Amino acid sequence: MGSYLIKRIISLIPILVGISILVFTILHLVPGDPASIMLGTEATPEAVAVLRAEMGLDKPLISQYLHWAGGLLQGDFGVSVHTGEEILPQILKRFLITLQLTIMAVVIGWTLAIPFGILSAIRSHSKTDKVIRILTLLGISVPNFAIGTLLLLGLSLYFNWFPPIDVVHFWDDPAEAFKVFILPAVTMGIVVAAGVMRMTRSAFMETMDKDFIRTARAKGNSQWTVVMGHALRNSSIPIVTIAGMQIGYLLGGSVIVEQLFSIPGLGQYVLDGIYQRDYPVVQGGVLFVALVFVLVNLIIDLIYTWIDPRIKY
Amino acid sequence: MAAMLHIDQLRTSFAQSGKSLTIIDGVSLTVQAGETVGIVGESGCGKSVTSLSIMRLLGKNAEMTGSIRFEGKELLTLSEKEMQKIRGNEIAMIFQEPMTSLNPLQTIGKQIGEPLRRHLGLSKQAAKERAVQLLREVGIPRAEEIVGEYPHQLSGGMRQRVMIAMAMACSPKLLIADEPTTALDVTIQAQILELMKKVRAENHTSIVLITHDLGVVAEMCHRVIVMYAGQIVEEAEVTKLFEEPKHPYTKGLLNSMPSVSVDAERLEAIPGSVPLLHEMPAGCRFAPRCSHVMDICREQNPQLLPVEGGQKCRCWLYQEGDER
Repeated sequence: MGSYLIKRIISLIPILVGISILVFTILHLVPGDPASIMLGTEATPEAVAVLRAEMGLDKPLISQYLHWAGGLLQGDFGVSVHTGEEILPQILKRFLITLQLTIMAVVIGWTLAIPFGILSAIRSHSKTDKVIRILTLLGISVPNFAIGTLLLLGLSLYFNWFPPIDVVHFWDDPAEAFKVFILPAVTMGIVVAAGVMRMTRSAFMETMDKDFIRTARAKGNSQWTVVMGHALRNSSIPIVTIAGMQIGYLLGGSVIVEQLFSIPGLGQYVLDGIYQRDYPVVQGGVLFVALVFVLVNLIIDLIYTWIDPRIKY
Repeated sequence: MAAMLHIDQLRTSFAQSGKSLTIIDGVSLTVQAGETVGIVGESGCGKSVTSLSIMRLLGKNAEMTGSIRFEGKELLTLSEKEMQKIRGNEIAMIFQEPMTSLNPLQTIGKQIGEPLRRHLGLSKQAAKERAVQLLREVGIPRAEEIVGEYPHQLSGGMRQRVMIAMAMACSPKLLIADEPTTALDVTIQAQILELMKKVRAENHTSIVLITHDLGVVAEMCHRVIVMYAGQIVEEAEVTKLFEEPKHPYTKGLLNSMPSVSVDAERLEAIPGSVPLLHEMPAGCRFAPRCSHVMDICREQNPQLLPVEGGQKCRCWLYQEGDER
């Protein structure tokens, strides 16, 4: 296990190098650069050229990349071209906000999805199952900006309730933070629930057909024991897989939901960076998100070994 | 004294896309205390469905009529809760596939301990100790270590021993063994049969043994029931069945068994195959494959009636006089 972990962590290096090259290249291929955006459309080409030289944008791409990557190796993500702020503290600050939102969305999503998914599977093709499946289909097919807008409009129009705008951390004021995050978390939670619920249903239906479930029944177990004691753990690998991917995505920041509820999360930070061609911000942000995604997947792989003793690394 | 198990005119059908398919059609059989009754027949003849009917483990779309009495108690009208108290406690079951019939994510000890905790109310520790004891009784070496291991760490034969230990945990009065040796190597098969004999002798358990292997029947059973297409076609004491088979199907089964003593170049096979459920012949269900087929066989299904020699047989060859 220890050597597996070390191997996995070493294998992160080429992945991150690859991603850094990719994001760097793509970003520099996009027309427009920070200099021309900062100076506006009226600027003379000479003025832009001067600023470009100042920012080092006239150097060959390869040396620009090496300069940036060299900084990264020393833990230096650089400063924003636009605001001059250090990037890493900004990323971390916004990541904490996204993290709170993700945790709430996932808690909401799973508490809806797993019980209903199990119910849907053990009563498959019943009325209950049909209702649950239709709701799931809605959750998957209605885009989350629509769900979020409806929630926001519905609550403000009919109950005269508006979520507070100022972001509060859970450790400062849990009640206030709950109010801030509840609407966006429900919006994201519905999407999470729909995916997890479908996976739970199909995984359970497959497991409930297995021979060992028949054995469990033949031992005189109740339906509850058969489902919770035998089927749940045996169905959890695909559920954990999809849940892990969702967490990875959500931690990268849900741009649309953050935008809709004006939450200054990671997604919004990177988006603003893109608008302003703020190269270091976008590069650093994307790289950080990639790192988080890969780490979440590593944790999921470790959870597999805890679920299933046959999985050994 | 009431028989251990008495099944009367059992009919099991499944509802499928609006239609009802009858798998078991009027099966009656009796198992006495301490007796081993074999049920033989080809795949799809309804052997396994009969056993799962007794346990009432067939799922929601199965419908059963008739009567299944266990020690005089009618099982078909019991509630699911009452049935749970019987399963694994008074009637236990072992299955064909030891590789897939154990929960892959639970330790052997926990799985054997489960019926003990549920039916006998043993504590976790007591159940574990009893599990070790049971594993020793079924001949598993290093029982103390095995209780903490998972099914994938054991061979097929070992897993079937675990299944037997699990089934015998609450000393059931009736054991239903559904093809317990089919998936195992021949040498292991013999060991498992020996073990079942030992368990039977020690606990005085009645056994319903479902198999398609007549060798296993000869080894284990007192009485044999031959099933064909959801019906019993012959019932006999085990020696009678091998010495004087009556039904053409039973004869066919016996002839298709390889034997060292008979110097035949080819094994005889029964021509044709089991009729499909929705294409059951109007008369005798075996008629299309029977070498002695007569006109009446195609028109009317014969009754299962006693014939000379003390066995019962469902065939027009033996009941011309009585019926007409």
